[in-house]
Amino acid sequence: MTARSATQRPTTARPTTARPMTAVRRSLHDNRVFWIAGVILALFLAGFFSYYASSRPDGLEKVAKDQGIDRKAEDHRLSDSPLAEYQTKNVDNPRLSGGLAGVIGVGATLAVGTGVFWVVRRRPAPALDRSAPAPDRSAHIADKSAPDSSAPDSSAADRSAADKSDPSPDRSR
Amino acid sequence: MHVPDGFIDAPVSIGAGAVAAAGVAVSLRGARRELDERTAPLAGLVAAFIFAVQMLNFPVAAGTSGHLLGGALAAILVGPCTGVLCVSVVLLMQGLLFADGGLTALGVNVTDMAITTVVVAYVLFRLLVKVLPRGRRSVTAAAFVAAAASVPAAAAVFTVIYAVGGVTDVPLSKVAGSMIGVHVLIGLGEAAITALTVGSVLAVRPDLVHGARGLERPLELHTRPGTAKAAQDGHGRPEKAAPEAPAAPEAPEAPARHSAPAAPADAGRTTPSGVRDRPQDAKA
Repeated sequence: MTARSATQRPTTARPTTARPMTAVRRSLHDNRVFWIAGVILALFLAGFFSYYASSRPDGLEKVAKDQGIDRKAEDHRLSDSPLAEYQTKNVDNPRLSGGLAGVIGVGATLAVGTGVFWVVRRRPAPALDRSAPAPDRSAHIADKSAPDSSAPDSSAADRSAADKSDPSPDRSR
Repeated sequence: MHVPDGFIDAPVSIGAGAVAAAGVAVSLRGARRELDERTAPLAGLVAAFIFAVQMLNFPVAAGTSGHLLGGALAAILVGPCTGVLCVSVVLLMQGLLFADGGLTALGVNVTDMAITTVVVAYVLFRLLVKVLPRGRRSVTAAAFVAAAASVPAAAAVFTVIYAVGGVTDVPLSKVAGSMIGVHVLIGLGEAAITALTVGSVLAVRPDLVHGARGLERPLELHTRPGTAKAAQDGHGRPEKAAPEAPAAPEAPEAPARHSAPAAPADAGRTTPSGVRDRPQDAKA
C-alpha cells in the first residue's frame, strides 16, 4: 500500500482538489436543512401540540401539595407577566393563547441560546482544531508511507485528506 | 420540577445559586471546546427544542404529570458543558418570561435540573457506551438508561436541598420517598423522549451527536486509506464510490477497512484500532 499510494498520490489529489468547497458547502447546507427542520418541529410542539399536554400537576407540584412542602410557597414575582403560566395575556382562545406563548418561548430560547453559544464558541483560528486531529493523523500516515515525498506533494496529500475527512460522516449515514 | 419561591430558605437558595453560578462558569469555559461556528446554532436549537418539549407534560400515575428535563438529551447531543448551558438558558427563560420556577429558586433549579441531570446522565452514558458493543443501537440504549437515571437523581438532589434548607418541616423520609418514587416514573418518559430524539438524530445525522463521536471518528480514519486505494484501483471518484462500491472489489485487499465505511453498524469489527483511537478523540 505504502509505495503504491505514494506514487499514486497526484492522481488521488487531483480529483479532490475541487472538493473542499463543495464538501464544506454541502455540510453547511445539510446543517441548515437540519436546523430548519428542528426549529419547525420545536415550533410545532410548543405552538400546537402543547395544547394536548397533560394539565395535571407535575411530580414536584403534586408531592409538594400532598406533603405540605408548598405551605409557604410564594406567588411568582412575575405572575402577572404577559406570558405567565404559558398563557398569552389578553388572548382568550386557549389554543391560541398557549400556542402563542409556546412560539414566543421557542423563539426567545433559540435567540438567547444561540447568542450565548455563538459568543462562547471557538473562534475561526482555533476552529481549525476541529479538523486538526484527522489531517494530522493522515499526515503521519502520509509521512510514513512516503518519506521521500517532496514538500508540495505532502501538502497536496494533506489537502486531499482534509477533503475526505469532512464528508465522511455523511457517507457513513 | 420547577421549584417555586418559598420552598427553600434564603441562605440555601443563595448557596445553591453559588453552586449554579460555578457550574455555569465551568460550563462556559468547557463549552468552548464543544462549540464552533458549525455547532453553535445547533446548540441553540437544542435549547429551543428542550423548551418546547418541556411544555409537553405527559401523565404519570395518580393524577400527576411529568415533563422532560432535558439534561441527558442536551449532554448527549451537544456535549455536557453545552448541555448545562442549554438547560440553564431554558430555566432562565421560563423563570423570567413564563413565571415558571421561582426567581430566588433559580439557583436551586439550575443545580437540580441542569447540573445534576447532565452530570449523572453524561457519566452514566459514557460508562455505558464504553461497556456496550460499539454501534448506534448502543448509543440509543445508553441514552435511554442515562436519561432514566437523571430524573430520580434530580429528585434526590432536590430532597437534599430541601433537607438543608426547606422552610417547611415535612419528614425527610416522606419527601425522599414520594419525590424519588414519582420521578422514577417520570424518568421513564424522559428516557423514551431522549432515546427517540437521539435515535432520530443518529439516523439522520450521526455526525451531529456529540455522544457518538467516538464511534464515527475511527471510521473516518479507516475510510481514508480505503478511498485512496479505491481511487488508485480506478475508481476516479472515491467519495461517491465509497458508500456502496468498495466493499466488493476491494474486499480481498483489506476487507475490514472497506466494510467499515459502508456499514457503520459493523463498527464493532474495527474495534482494535477503534479503541486505540478513542482516547485521542476524547482529548481532541
